[in-house]
Amino acid sequence: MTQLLDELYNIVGREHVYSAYSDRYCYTYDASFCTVQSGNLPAFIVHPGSVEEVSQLMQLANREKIPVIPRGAGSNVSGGTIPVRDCMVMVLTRLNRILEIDSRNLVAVVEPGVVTGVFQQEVEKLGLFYPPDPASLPFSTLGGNAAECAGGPRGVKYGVTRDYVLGLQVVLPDGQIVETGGRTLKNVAGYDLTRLFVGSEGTLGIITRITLRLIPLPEAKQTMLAVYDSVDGAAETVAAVISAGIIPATLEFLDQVYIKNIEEYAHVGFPLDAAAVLLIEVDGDPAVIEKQVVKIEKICRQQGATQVRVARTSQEAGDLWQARRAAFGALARLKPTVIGEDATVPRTNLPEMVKRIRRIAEEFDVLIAVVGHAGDGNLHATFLCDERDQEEMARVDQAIAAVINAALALQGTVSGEHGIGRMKSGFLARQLGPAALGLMRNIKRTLDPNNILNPAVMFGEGQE
Amino acid sequence: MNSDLSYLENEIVKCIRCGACQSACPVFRETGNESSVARGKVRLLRSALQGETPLNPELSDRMSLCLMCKACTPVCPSGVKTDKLVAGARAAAVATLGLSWPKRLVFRVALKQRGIFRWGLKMGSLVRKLLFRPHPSGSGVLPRVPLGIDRRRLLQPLAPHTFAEEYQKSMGFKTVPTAKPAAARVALFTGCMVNYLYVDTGKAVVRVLRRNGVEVVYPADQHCCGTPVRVNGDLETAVEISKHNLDVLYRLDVDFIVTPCASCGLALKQEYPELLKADRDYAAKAAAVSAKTRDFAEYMVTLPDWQQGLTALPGIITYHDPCHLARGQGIRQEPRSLLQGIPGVSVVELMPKEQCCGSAGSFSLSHPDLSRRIGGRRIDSVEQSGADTVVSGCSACLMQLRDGIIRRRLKVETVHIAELLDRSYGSAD
Repeated sequence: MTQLLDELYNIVGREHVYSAYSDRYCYTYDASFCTVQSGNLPAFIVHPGSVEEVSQLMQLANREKIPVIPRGAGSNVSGGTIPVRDCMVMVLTRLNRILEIDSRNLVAVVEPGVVTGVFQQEVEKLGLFYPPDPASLPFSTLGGNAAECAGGPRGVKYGVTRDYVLGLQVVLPDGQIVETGGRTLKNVAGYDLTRLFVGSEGTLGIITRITLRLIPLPEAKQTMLAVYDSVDGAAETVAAVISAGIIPATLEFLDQVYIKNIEEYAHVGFPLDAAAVLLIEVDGDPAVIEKQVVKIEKICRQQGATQVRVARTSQEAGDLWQARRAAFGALARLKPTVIGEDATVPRTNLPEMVKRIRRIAEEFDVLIAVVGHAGDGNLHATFLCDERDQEEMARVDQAIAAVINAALALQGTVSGEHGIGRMKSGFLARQLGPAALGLMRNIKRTLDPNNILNPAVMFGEGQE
Repeated sequence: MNSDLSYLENEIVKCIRCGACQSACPVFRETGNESSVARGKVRLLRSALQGETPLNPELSDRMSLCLMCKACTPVCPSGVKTDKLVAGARAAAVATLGLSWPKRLVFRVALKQRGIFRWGLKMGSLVRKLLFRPHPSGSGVLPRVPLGIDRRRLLQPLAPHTFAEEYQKSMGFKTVPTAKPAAARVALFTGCMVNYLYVDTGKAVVRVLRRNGVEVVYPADQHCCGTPVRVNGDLETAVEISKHNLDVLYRLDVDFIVTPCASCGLALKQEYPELLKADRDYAAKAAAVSAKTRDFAEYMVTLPDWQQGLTALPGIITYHDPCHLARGQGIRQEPRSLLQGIPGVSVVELMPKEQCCGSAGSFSLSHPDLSRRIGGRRIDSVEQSGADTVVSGCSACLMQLRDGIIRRRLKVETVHIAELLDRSYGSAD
């Protein structure tokens, strides 16, 4: 142990290695509801400062068969950075430089520890845009976003992290440094390893550099909010808007539980009996979006919206978003434990999915609020409970399983954007089937024969 | 006092571990270590509450890594008040592990007995020539010998005479120097920084208020507000000090209690009522004193003609928001209004807004390197702003900023807002 510590000190410097109990304890959780059992602490927390250090650490870990958990801000909600006993947690936040923003080629090169929101501000100063917008963007890192393939409200129009990663530098479990992809939009040289690593949840390699695609920053945006007395009306609006040839930048859906709580907490002017609210934002050329707003407003009313508010100023738009942002706080004040699910269905199945979630809430007698990125069918069934109440938590577990099964039955996926991590490894086989799952396991074995990289996530092996 | 953490449980379980505090915590920005961010501290406390983690010196040490700057509370989606949790944890640690001997000496013996405290500080002013040397720039002093204080740390020298002495000598019996009848009668609560170190700030407050037709009384038996002991977990002493001050302030026949110190204001307004909420005799007194307490800037802007008589001051001024004023009391616009009322000055903002200066009272002494690194970021902001004067409403912030400015050899003045107004009224000595 002391000899290992000495080696770690030699690689990254003593001040970047933590081995005291309190420091190790603080890496036993992430933003998920998942926790380790008492005593299953990591052995060391290491903060490397360069790709060479990462490579040396991996060589050491591979030689000693020490499990390694790569970590950015620890803001994932899937249990993706929960440690296994005596592992090394590798924190990549010291690698936090934006190396290059190339506005002529619309490409940026960053280190994995750059905070997503900080990066967005920097590119926007140059009139450029990096769209992926997970709720955690003020503090989550681009490395973590790439490893989890983070999404966000803008997914409906702009896609997710995967759609913006052109290339990676990755340290493999044996310490080899590989470069994937490149800085061209078109690139068909060999297998698409970039896409293999994006969303691999730290199981295949450690991302140490990311080449990102940028797009021009939309000139303007307009925000509107529509209130419905039925979920169907809101869902039909989503389908009708898209059928009319308009892809809004965001199309956020809030159900009655959210609406009632937001209103009671923040007094934003929602009718308390509203069944659904849509928050719609369009962006682009000012002349074009002006026309789109008129069209969308008409569609909302045709689909039975009882109230449509169009923000005329950025202040008014801010007020509308305020209502959406208040959602989480409103719920967190209701119950101490908030679990956000992300089972996702094709958007036409959204009304049916919402109905099934309501039925599941009744059946298991649990409190579920639904918010979602309605434009891409990515729903967040939000379970409100108290983790100290074991009986309630057992019902919540059953209800979560029922929601995931409902999504699969509606041609959906067990996870739209949060990832498998530990929370959903039990459901992976059900969606993939034995052949695809077997292929994935083979890929993992090929890249990481000693199974040292984040061994407890994805396939659910070695969870304690 | 309370070695049991269970009363903190409802606050602890609100944390949903999202990690949003990482974007706000000045300490975490420097260390990058999870145990120094709010989420980590809350998680450690939760574990201690469950009996899994012992309340030992290591845990105490992690709890010491908090500036009490409240930066994490507005970004927290569940509104967890980590500063309150840390204060509670420190109190539990004091109850379980006791105070370290230097703190015991200062908190329990010196600070609690006003006589000894004053004598100690007076002695301090006599022996300071032995212990401190003047900074080559002529501004402030540096420790000559290790005092548990970093020897490169610039400190404001103890004033040769305290504000209390100066007031009695030269200000106490002056009549109101304006023709106006007294618009209001206020009590001045100076706080220790002003009483012992920044006496000129206290004098400026008195002159500025009197000039505006406000009658100022100075209750000489006021004591330290208790914030240093409270945030370090010595609740027993904090309660005792707060009761003493309430006894002094409650019986005064004044309209308001005005303080030029952000932390004293927060203590009088919010901390006393909280400390004493279960006290049958003092809860009502605390509420009454709280309702009368105003920060200097907060009070100034309510005076009808404060802009009259302000003369032009040249220069580019920036305002540093003290944590205990901006996030603590919601006072952001008032000081800016005062600055904008001074003819001739141009006011620029420090970016990013509302960052802690890293002083945090005794934190700057117990964690000097960290404090200086955090302060360095604020000095970066000052440099980028192009200001030639930094104004604030907290003497501790100003001392910290002065240290950073001198260290970087910048030509930037630091001044309390009361002194700047005093200068603009043309009444400074």
